[in-house]
Amino acid sequence: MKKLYKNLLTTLLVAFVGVSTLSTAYSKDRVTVNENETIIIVNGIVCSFCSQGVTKKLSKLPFIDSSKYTDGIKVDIENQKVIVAIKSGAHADFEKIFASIQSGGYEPITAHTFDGQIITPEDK
Amino acid sequence: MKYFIFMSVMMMGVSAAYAHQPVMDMAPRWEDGYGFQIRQERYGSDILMGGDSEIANPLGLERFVSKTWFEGVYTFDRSARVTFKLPYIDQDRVKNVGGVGVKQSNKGIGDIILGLPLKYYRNRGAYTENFGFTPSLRLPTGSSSGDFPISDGSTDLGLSFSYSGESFKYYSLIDAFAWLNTEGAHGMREGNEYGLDINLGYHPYHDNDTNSGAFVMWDVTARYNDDPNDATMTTASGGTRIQTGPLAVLYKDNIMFRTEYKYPLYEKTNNISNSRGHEFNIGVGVTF
Repeated sequence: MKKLYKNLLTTLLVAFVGVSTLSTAYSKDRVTVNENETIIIVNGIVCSFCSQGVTKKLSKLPFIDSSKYTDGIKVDIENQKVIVAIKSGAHADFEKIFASIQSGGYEPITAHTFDGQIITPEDK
Repeated sequence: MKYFIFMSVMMMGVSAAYAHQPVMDMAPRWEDGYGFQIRQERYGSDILMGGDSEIANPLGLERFVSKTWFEGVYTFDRSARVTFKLPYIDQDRVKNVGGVGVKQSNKGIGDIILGLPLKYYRNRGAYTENFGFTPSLRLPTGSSSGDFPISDGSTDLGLSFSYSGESFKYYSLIDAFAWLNTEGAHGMREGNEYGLDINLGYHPYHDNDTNSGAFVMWDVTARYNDDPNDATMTTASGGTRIQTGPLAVLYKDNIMFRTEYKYPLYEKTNNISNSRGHEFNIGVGVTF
């Protein structure tokens, strides 16, 4: 019986290590940005329930178009993307966007704009 | 408003970290986030154990416990939280008193557990992981009077070390902990408790548009309890047990529903006592 439990524990630990060493690569999906939107690639944003803070913090920014998505934000946890709707004619403040994502518990990597710019937190 | 709620919670006496709990452990991980959860836990059995075997039970000895937990969490930033966990306990047993099976029951507020989960997060592309350390304090807010007290009246220290990692599809957690129990009222001293939890989870469904989904998990729980002393009249008993079973979580935006079942895979009691039996958990939580 003890052998059974030992084998069970070993199997679980092996499975645990397996899950813990899964691929950490980002999705290879091309980043396509719609007009009046920006897409932020966010490190480790894979859990919807954990990422509510990102939506909560970003939606408070004055240039967010809250009529789109959920309060202006759509989180794509499969591809680690946060889609941010910007009010038509408004200027997106990327420093505030990056700070909001950090306050939401995650690290932004790059922001992609409709006109093809790629902005990093280091640029700000 | 959030500060009012937070301060109200703190004044009630506040917190501890719990493994595989979407509200409390996984969320909120944002600054100034907070959440609450109500959870009911039921376990008990009329199976009498002597060591790792079932033995005859001519007196019909049994023990059934129902705990309704009110739990809350506040996150300063993702590396530091405070939590509270307050149970309402309704317990019944038939105990051997001088060779006669005597029915005893009690109900009331139990001991509050306050916790300070500290976490170090690492984000690795499509994978996020954290290492946790949680000191906890269990305070004797429950009554220790009567022949079947809710609490042993002691102040206890809990320590937990955990690792959890998650990708879009998979989740894993390992948590090792100990409760160091001190002597309480009437000379009662429940033994120390040591535990190891391992969870493996799978995320079969998520909809980005509605921000809703489900995940399932398999839990293995191992516990070792030192023997309580002879003065202890609570439900505490010494021995080893391994329980395992599935749990499922459904979520929509900031609300989650969680249900769990644990089967007693292995039990060995140090003295003659009832099996812990099958365990059921059901809960609902919300974060802000």
